[in-house]
Amino acid sequence: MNTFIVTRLILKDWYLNRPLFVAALFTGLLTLGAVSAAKGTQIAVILGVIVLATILIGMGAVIMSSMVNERRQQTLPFVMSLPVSYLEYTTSKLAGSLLIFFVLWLALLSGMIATILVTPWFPHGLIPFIVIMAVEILVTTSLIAAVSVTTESQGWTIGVTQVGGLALNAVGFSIARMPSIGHTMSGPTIQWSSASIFKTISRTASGKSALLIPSVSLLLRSRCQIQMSDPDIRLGGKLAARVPGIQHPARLNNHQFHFVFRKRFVLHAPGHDEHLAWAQMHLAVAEVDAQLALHDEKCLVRLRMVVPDEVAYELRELELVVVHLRNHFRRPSL
Amino acid sequence: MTDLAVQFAGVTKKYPHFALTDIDLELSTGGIMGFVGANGAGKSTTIRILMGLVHQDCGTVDVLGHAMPMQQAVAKRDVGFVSEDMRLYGPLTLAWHMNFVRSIYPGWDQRYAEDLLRRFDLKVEQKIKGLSHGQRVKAALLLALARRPRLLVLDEPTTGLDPVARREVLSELMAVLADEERTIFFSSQNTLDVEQISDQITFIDRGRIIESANKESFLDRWRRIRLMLPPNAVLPRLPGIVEVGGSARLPVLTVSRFEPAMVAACQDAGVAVQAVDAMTLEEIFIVNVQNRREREVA
Amino acid sequence: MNSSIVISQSDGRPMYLQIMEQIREKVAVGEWAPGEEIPSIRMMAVAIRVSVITVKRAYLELEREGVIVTQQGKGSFVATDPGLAPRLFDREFNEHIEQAVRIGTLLGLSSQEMALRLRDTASQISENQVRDEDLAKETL
Repeated sequence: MNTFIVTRLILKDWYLNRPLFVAALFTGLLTLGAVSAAKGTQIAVILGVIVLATILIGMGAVIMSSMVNERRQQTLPFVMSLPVSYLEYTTSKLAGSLLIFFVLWLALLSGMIATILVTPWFPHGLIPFIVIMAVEILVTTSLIAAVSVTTESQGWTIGVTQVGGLALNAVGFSIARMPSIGHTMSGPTIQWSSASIFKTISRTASGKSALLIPSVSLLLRSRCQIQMSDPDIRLGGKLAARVPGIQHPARLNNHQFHFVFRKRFVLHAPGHDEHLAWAQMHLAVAEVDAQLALHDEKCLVRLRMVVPDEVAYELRELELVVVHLRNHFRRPSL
Repeated sequence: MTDLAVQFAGVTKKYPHFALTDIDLELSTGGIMGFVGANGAGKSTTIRILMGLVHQDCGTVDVLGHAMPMQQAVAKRDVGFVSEDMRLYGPLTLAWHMNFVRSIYPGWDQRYAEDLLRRFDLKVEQKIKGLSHGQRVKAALLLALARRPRLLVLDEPTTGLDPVARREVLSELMAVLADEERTIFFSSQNTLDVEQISDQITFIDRGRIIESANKESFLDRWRRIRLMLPPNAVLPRLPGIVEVGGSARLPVLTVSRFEPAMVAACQDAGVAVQAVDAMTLEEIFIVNVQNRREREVA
Repeated sequence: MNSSIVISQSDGRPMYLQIMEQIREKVAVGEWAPGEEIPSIRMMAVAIRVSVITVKRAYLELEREGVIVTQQGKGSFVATDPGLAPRLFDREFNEHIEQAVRIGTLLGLSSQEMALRLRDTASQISENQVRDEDLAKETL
């Protein structure tokens, strides 16, 4: 593996994604600032969390689609004209994407923790839970990315996303129920009950890694015989009309990445709707976050026992907000 | 003995509606090969296989001594590739691209790059998305030329360029060949260009190589013979008649294996030879393709 | 020396013949002196934007005619033959006559008619030349 060229390609992607990254970071920090300044309004906190989650998801989706974009914007021939094998190219895409995501994730997580610590009314007990969930999001996203890049199939991506989402959900739920965490979440202090927390993290992280490792190795193996799409067969593009004998120009222009892994060229690919794939993924993660928010809400309800008058109102608001954002996640092209 | 810069042997690649069959090609170091074919004939597929971007179903491909596509990363260190459907990064400047390529290729010649900037009339600080088609093609060519590759692979380098830009590009390509260790493989719709600067010509049609030959001997073999038949006379039998045109009394024969003895043979048969005309590459190309297609239909 | 050979695309003849003709003319008028080094095949190819193989063919043919000499590893030179220039012009003259005769035959002219036409054309041209010289003297 030529690490030099892989590094150059990663740096190139960094440079290209620079504006987006800065915008995401800026918006995230702005949100944290707004949440902190909101002085204890439930809605502000919940909205803040949802906006942050949206940023992370959005960034994740953009990163995931960076490989697709390379093809769509037709810059792939330029990259592949460089002294790089397809394996190295894919590695740079995967590593680079996850790296960018990781930096943003780290920034937002630290920002969130800092906001909790600095803001007087924020229960510090939330921090362990948030850290665990953030780690879960990171590992889940890495897994989804690895699977998506390996298979470039929306079927697999949706599958893994759903499973990952459910797992995240279950983990969040079970962690919130754990006595060492559940009781301390609403508390004013951070209480890391080291044994149980680290056991939990290690259990879920190792579970995810067990899936991550084989998928990455599958990726590496399959990438040795990869081919780019063929411009003579770029159906649906302007060449289609000129190529003799082509009867059914399909919507392949945007979907060529599906054929990368198949040695047999697949012409008709019904349902390989890339928009659907990403939208589904967002949906799944959004579901997760909705669940998460509900958990938060449960904790917050417990918290809000002290101030009961606004609970019912807030519950409805929460659902409204979540549903609204769910529709938002059907983002078209990224 | 010159070694081969490019070698295809029995290369086949099948798609559901198109197939590249039994491609054999040889290009010696220091030469320039012009690759001619109709749209959809398989030029781009062949070039992608050459670059290792598409994996052939069978057959071997060797580029600068490296087997493709397995050793493509090594081979591409010495190759400059420009294709018609290649795009650079729109939001970034030409300067960024030059620095990017320079950081990857140790053979980058900055002085030559600046010289090309001047001659191609390009501005470094301009973003790629602001360039016209011709400028983008020239920019891509600059990035390929300035790294001084041993092999240049160009897919339609002059398509879409105005005549002045075309001439500039052809000059630069020829200048590359001043070094006899450098080789060029290019495909083009522009038969005039191919005819003028190629050492070797290869015709491809419907996924098969029709001809691959030394340009001068190739052009020497094709002739249009204008005859005047006396009444009730019969057309002389000549080998390699590809097409018979004109009228009954004034036939025009297109032959693919001309020899001066044919003229004598006609005269001996009592047929007057009005003229023996050479053919341009375009005319040969059209006759070749049309003839094949007619034979296929028949 | 920069090569001022110009290839015309509208000229129906093969490129190598055009190159040969122009090199012969350069030698005939003395632009390229006997024994002088001429551009290498590659240099010439690059300068006039014509394939190496075409220039090579032209050089090979010229060497066969004795116009130039190529020494392996040293380059190409004009042949050191003092009678070369007039011989080249002579050859060009013969070529043109041959072409005229061929066309005349197609027209169905006899050799006497062709000779007559040649004489008429020659005197016509010299008359025109005298007239042009007089005109030039008048305007001065």
